[in-house]
Amino acid sequence: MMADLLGMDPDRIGRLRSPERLAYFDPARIWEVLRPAPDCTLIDIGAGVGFITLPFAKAYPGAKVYGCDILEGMVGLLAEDAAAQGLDNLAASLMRPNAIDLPDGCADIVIMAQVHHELDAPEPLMAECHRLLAPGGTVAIVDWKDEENGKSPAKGRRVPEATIRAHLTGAGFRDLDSHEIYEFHAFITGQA
Amino acid sequence: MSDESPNDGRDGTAADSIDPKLLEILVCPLTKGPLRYDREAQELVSEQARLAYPIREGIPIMLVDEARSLDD
Repeated sequence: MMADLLGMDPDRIGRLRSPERLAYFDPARIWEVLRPAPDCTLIDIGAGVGFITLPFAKAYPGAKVYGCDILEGMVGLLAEDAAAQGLDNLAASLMRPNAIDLPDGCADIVIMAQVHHELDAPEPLMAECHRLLAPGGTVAIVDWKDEENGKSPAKGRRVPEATIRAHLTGAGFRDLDSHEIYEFHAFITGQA
Repeated sequence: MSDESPNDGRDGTAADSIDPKLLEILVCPLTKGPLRYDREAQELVSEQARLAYPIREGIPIMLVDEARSLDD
């Protein structure tokens, strides 16, 4: 029996969980680049159905993983899937739009995947990412490329990479780097 | 930042404000029909169910028991 969807559209949830996404958005590519320590702390902001959170927690059993979302339905689904997969290193938790209930400097990695283009004003959340990271920690942003490629959303719904970089710089991140690992997504990292 | 988005995180309301695009994944839990975002009231309105679901501290509360009846 699936957790109560609490108003989430089942069709949309089905698409988010679709394994077909793996063909062009394999989350393992992210940690191939990040090379996290086995005992790292990772926070996934806007974790949704756990497309990234679940495989990361599985690949890094010694890591502490937080999957955060503003929808209680998502948090419920993620907690249920983590329990079903025996991932006791994964905590699903409810967040407010720009506030995660975790202490300053607690994380080695903060991931925001497919979240940026949903935000009208990403700056406060970028600042929250910086607050959560230990000095030298890594923020990792994945979002649709700003191009007509048959997958990315329509213009106006995409965020140019330069804009994401400006948001990161504005929040105090340095040593920004872009990684060409996906056909349809940009992947940008920065250091706190 | 444009003048249309005064919510810059420094006015004390940012934590309580929600970006409407984040709501597109939601439907009325009762009717599964569409919701309208009432930014001023911080509610998600289901005209079909005649219910308004509250958004508290930026978190939509998608429970019929917590919803306000539009007909009261």
